[in-house]
Amino acid sequence: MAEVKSMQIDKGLLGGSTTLLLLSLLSESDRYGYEIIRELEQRSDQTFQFKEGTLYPVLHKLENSGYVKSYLAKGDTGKERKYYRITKNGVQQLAEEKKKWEVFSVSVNKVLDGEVHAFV
Amino acid sequence: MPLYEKENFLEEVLRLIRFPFDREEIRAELENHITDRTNYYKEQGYNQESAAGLAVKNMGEAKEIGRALNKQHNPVLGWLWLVTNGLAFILAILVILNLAIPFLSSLLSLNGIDKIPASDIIYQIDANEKVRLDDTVIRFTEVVYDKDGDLNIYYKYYDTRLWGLGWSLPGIGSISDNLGNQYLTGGSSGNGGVISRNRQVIPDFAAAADTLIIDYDSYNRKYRVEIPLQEGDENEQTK
Repeated sequence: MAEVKSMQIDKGLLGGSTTLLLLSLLSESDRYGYEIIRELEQRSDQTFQFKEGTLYPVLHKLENSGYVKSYLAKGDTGKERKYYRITKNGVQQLAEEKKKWEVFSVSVNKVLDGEVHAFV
Repeated sequence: MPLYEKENFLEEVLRLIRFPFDREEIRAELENHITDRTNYYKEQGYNQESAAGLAVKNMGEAKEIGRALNKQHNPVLGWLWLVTNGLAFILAILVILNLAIPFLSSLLSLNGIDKIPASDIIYQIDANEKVRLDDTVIRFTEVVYDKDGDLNIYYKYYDTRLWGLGWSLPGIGSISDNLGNQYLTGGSSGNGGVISRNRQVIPDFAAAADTLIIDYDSYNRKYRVEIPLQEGDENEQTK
């Protein structure tokens, strides 16, 4: 685990895959910023840890692009928070990003595997 | 100290947001995040001070976040949005007032028409006759005979369709009595609105008549209303 922690990705946020990850989480349910961060942390076994404040410019950008819509609501704790909900456009964008990611990861794996595993 | 750090962080971020009307919302969002993270660390066993300190540290560079947020909160677009919303709001208010004022005034001014002083009334009959002309309902509510020999017929009418607002009834029909007298209808007055309240004056009405007859017959629409006057046994309310 300590090994993994030392590998924490310390980019502003996770580069090109940010939109994919955020839209994917929001396609499951509406969430507020801190929930998104916690979810990313837990699912990635803390690999995805980053400067949490940088999440918000990204969320606001997604909202400006029309992929998500924000609204204020009181959650289970009774505290008012800004929730984000994926829009129809966002769902379309998510499908595209997923496709891109698949092409990308298949290509990376091909390079890594080289000719040795080409027939496996 | 940690409190100061949090405030410091928020101030530094917000200073970089040029559009003032988004600052409050951004502040609340970031502050909630720091509070949640602080609580998380407290659950992990940290004391308030270190929990708050760690939470702020986790946020990252205030300047970097502020600059990035400012890009997403373009002041030109922000002002444009505010101005168009403001205009739409004003327009909506005007439309609502335009619709609501006649409606409210017709509900509030229950007697937009002159009341006859009690000392001038010879007799007064409460009537309750309802007739319909297409979509218009006319209700005769009261008949007052005054000392000048004028018979005043009070009636309301309204359109059963909401958009029938403002349409006015040309007249209630020809007036006669049980003695065979035909009367010229005098002036009528009323207020507009959704439910229009009106008075039709019949000058020189026969004092001896005991039934008022209103006949409406025009454009193939007909009704006939007979209202018992002072001799009638049920409705009598002689003053």
